[in-house]
Amino acid sequence: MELNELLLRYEAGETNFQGESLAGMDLSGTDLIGIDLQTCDLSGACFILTYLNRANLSHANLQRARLCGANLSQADLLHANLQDADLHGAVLYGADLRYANLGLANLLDVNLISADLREVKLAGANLQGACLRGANLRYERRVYESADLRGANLQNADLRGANLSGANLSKADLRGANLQEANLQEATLSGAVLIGAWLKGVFLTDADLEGADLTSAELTDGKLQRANFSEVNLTQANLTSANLTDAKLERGILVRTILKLARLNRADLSRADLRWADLAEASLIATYLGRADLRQANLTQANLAQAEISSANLHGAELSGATMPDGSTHDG
Amino acid sequence: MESNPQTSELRGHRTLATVVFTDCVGFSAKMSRDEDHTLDLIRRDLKLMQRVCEQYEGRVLKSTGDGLLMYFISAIRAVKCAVEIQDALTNAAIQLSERDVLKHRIGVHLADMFITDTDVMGNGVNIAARLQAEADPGGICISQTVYDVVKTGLQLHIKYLGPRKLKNIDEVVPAYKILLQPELEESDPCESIVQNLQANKNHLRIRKLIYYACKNVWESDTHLLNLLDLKELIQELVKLAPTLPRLQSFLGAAVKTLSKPTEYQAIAQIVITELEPLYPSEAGGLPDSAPTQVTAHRAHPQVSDPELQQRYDQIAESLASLSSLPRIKKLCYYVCRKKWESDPEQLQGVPMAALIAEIHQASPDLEQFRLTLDSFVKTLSKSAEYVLVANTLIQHLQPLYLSPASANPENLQSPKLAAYDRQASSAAAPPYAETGVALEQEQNLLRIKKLMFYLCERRWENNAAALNNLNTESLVRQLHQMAPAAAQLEAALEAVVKSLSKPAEYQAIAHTILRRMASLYPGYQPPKVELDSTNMAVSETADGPAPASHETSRFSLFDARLDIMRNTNPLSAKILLFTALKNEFHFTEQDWLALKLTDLDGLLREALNCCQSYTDMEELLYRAARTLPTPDEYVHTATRLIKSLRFFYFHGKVPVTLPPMVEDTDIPLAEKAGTSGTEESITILEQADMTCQLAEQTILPAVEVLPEADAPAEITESWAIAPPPPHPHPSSESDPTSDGTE
Repeated sequence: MELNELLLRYEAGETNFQGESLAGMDLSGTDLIGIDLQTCDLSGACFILTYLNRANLSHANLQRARLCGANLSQADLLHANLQDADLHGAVLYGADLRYANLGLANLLDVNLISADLREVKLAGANLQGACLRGANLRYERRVYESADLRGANLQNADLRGANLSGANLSKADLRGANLQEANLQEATLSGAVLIGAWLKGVFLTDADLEGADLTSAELTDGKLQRANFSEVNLTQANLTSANLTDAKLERGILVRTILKLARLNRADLSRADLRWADLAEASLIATYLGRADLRQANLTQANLAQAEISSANLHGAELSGATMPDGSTHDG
Repeated sequence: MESNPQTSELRGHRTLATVVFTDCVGFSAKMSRDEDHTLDLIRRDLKLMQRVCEQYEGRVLKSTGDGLLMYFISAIRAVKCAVEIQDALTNAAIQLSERDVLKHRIGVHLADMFITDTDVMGNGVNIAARLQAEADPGGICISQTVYDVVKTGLQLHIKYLGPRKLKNIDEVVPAYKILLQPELEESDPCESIVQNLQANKNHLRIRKLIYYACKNVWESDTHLLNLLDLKELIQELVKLAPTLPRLQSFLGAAVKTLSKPTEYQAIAQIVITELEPLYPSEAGGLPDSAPTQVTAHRAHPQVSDPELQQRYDQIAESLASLSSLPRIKKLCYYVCRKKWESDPEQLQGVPMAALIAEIHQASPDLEQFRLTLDSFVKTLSKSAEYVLVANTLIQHLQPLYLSPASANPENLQSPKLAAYDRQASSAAAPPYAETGVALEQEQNLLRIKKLMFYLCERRWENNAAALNNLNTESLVRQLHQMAPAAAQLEAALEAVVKSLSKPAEYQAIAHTILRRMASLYPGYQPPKVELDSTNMAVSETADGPAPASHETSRFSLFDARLDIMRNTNPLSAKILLFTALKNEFHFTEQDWLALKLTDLDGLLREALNCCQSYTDMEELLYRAARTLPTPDEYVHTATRLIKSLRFFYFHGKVPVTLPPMVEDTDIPLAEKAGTSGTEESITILEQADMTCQLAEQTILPAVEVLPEADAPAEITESWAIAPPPPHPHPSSESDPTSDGTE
């Protein structure tokens, strides 16, 4: 079909263009609200600043298409193929992107507020500065596989309140991202980079953060129970009042980490480096600190009842008021 | 005698009472330095207070160690007692040396409380305690309740501080300061203007209009309107519209959006007429420009000696190279004219050399000059910091006073060192190098440098590389020269630390600095370090004189972005910002690529950085919008963008351009600006939405005796939309019309 024909028919009121071949067509700036382009071939087509609100693009082929600034709010993109597509600054508010393939796509500064991204493929995609507030990327057993965000670039993205439970974010770049109160339960973040990220009140229970880099991250009030933090780098991170009960932190680097009032009961901190860490008033009941390095750490008023510290290095650690494993209180 | 119906066996009873809380300034610091002596002093002062209290039929309920808690049945007597105490202490202090004087703060509040023989309990007591913290050293702070009760019964000079948000107190408490030295604190043209406006029969409408023009929010609640500080609003208004024609157009635009434009036009006219004297005139006929002319007249006949004039000029030049020049000039202006001037334009109109000439003529003797300067500095709200400024000034002016015949040009060229050498009693040079080396051993060297740099240059530096380049020794030298007396350095450090966002940590840094520099001050005992420096978490996040918290500023940008995303097309927003900042976007491939290089966040930060005021941003964006192919659309985008960014101009916080990796968030001290009443639709709920994101409650700041635009202490307070968020829509009388583009 030719461009003119399409536009004429659309003006006339027709919206059903299912299965048409419109590859490479330039529809920039046009008004195509509500158009039905299911299963169409739109590869390489140009939709820059086009209005595609509530359009139906499910199963469409949009590989390498240019959708910069396109308005796809509440559009239907189920199973759409958007590999390598350019969605810079597009509006995908409330869009349905379930099962869509956006591998290596460019989603810089995209608006994905409240979008449905279950089982989406975003591996290697660029989501820098994107806003995913309230987006749904939830893993649902037998219904939706984990959303794939491996190696995605999420620097500076706004993920507040997003539901990423079970999502796969291994080796993703989340530097400076805002994950306040996001739901990352059982998510995989192994090898992810979270330097300076904002994770206040985040839900990371049962998550896998092995080898992740959380330097200077803000995890105050984080819920991190049973999470796997082995070999994680938490240098200078702030975990005040975080709940790390049963967490695995073997070989973790917690140099100068702030763990004031944190709960580390039954956590595994063997071989962890906790030099200069601030554990004032933290709860370390039955914590395993085998060969942990606690030199110069601040354990003032910490509770180490039943903790295993026999092989830990406490040289220079501050223990005034701390409850020792045998129940006695350490004199200052 | 006090009629205490309470018998000793009853546990306590509830009553309406006035509670007076006193507290000694810097008590712990003094105690750690000389416990015995300080105890003597505090005993002496508390005895005095007790005596005065009993004189006024009050009862001392308990001592807090460094202050007293007194209870009165009569609020008038309570306030009289407080005034008498401060007067008596001040009078006694005249004959005493500095180390024998303690300053106290007093807070007075009237409320229902639960009183026992030895104690008082209740929210009212907490309020009194917090009010006391708001008072100046040697001052008294009273609550609205007390003010209402005593205002007719007492002849006092009172200064309204505005509604204060006190720590751990839910409700906002309007507070007042009792002025004990009225002449020095009320020399402000604003005062008379405020009084005139207040006296006008349309004063309520005047308040409404000014508030609306500044904050873009309509307030109809009479009670809240009356709580507003008119002086502050006027100052904000003048900042928003720095010239008279701009004020006219600004108010005119605001009035146009109202439902009763004709009536408010008249009100606007009243405001403009009243505010006229505050504006420097271009034609040069208004009183503000007169001082400049007068200076010229005053200086010339007296400076008959061209050599003297040359020296004045030289000194002015050497002062011009200092970064603390603005403060030095303000101080000189204050001393000469007895009037505080913050407006940079005004200050520019007066040449520094002329001020120096005036000062020299007025105080021919160095000691006299020092005393005069001292007494002026004491009346300032930031006396500790201005002491340092005064010292620098004295150093530079010293050559004028020491035998003018013998002063040679070489000395003038390096006045700092020359002056210092003369000052130094010892022949040997002070151990700057050793002190510098000692400081470099400290763990928190970076923070130490930050604090020292800030004291010297009045600028916060977060860049690690820049800080590493600073020479510790020269910082030490500069600081020592600015504060030749240890007490001055201490006081200055204390004052500055208080205004930072991390006072606790910087307190320890200040102690470290004092400890290391103690060798420069013979006979000085540094205070004991309370915090163990290794316990401090050395985080790289913003610890400069930033506003309330690093959190808020990062959040604010996230919130602004969210707002922008919700209301505009992100790509359009980027195109607009790009055009505005780099002046060109022609939709070519290259342009698209360039656009992809920065994220929206980066563009927003750049825009906020480059526009000092709200009106600047408006101009910039609207101008850019009109150059783009579909101007209407982009004007609409511009409007939404500006609305979302308004938050930053209200709160005076401007995040600096950052590299994508957020390491150091710098918050430079931005100018404050309000909004313009142009074609925007006003929705109070929207504002409330944005302010709800803040952790702290937002309130109007108190206006200090002598306002300063560059003061970090002021910036830590936040501006606000004065009514608390859940507020009804504007009433029908004054419904602003919407912009219609939505």
